[in-house]
Amino acid sequence: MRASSRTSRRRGERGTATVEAVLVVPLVLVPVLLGVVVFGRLSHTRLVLDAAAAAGARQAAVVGGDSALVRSRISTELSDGGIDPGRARIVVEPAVAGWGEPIRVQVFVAEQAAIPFTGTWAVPLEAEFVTRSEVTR
Amino acid sequence: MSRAGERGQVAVYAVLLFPVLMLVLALVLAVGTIEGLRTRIRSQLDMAALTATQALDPTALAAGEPPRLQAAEAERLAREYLERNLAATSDALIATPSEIAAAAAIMVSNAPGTDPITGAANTAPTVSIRISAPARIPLLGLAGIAPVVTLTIDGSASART
Repeated sequence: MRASSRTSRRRGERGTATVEAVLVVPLVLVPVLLGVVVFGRLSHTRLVLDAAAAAGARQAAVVGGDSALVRSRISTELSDGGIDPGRARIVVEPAVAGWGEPIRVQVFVAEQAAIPFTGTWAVPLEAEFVTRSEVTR
Repeated sequence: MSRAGERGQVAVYAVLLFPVLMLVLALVLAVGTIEGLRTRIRSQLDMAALTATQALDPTALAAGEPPRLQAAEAERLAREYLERNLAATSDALIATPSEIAAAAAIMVSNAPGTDPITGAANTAPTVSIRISAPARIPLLGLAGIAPVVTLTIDGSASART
């Protein structure tokens, strides 16, 4: 009698632990781990964006403003980093800069952070560099 | 007896392990944020140093001599473009870009030798920059740590022919 009642109690608590595990693992731990993965992916995009904008800024300094060369340089860097250049918006201003004038190069990508069971957020990412025109006009 | 023991285990799991897990997670994300910011600021420093190497001495160039930097102009350009580039990360910084740029250590060296800032062996005219940037990391606040980290970052660029 005593032994069987103890067994039934233990079984009941085991069930509780299982239910807790079943709830906690998908609802808390999995989103947390996936959140870390999503954070890592966003950081990667950030770094690629920065590298692309820096390379674009160097090119813009050499050609003295906006040109197809600047945009293709940025696109190459983005696709090398695994980002579709079609998703990026590139702003180079001014379009024509005389010697010694500052040139601002910006690259924007609208990213999404989607964590299962939790939600989806729009994460706008931006990289910006300012350089100086090397072209005498 | 066994029931009390198992209840204790569940309590330890819920009360201790979960906050510890969240704390570790916040710290991991904070370190990631700090290193990401450090990387961004380092490329801003590189861009400023690279821009400063445009201040080449035209008389040396005209005479066909090896390139030589005009120290005062190179330093002015380094500070100006440091300020302009730091503006992109000013949200995360506590000091303003102009304060950080004004306080930056900038070395313009034309002679070969060991760079006093980066410690690298310079073989060409070099502009090197070191800044101290106090940054705001809110995730550290979540982990119960003061949310301000001072980043000390070097950058340099050389004029080569």
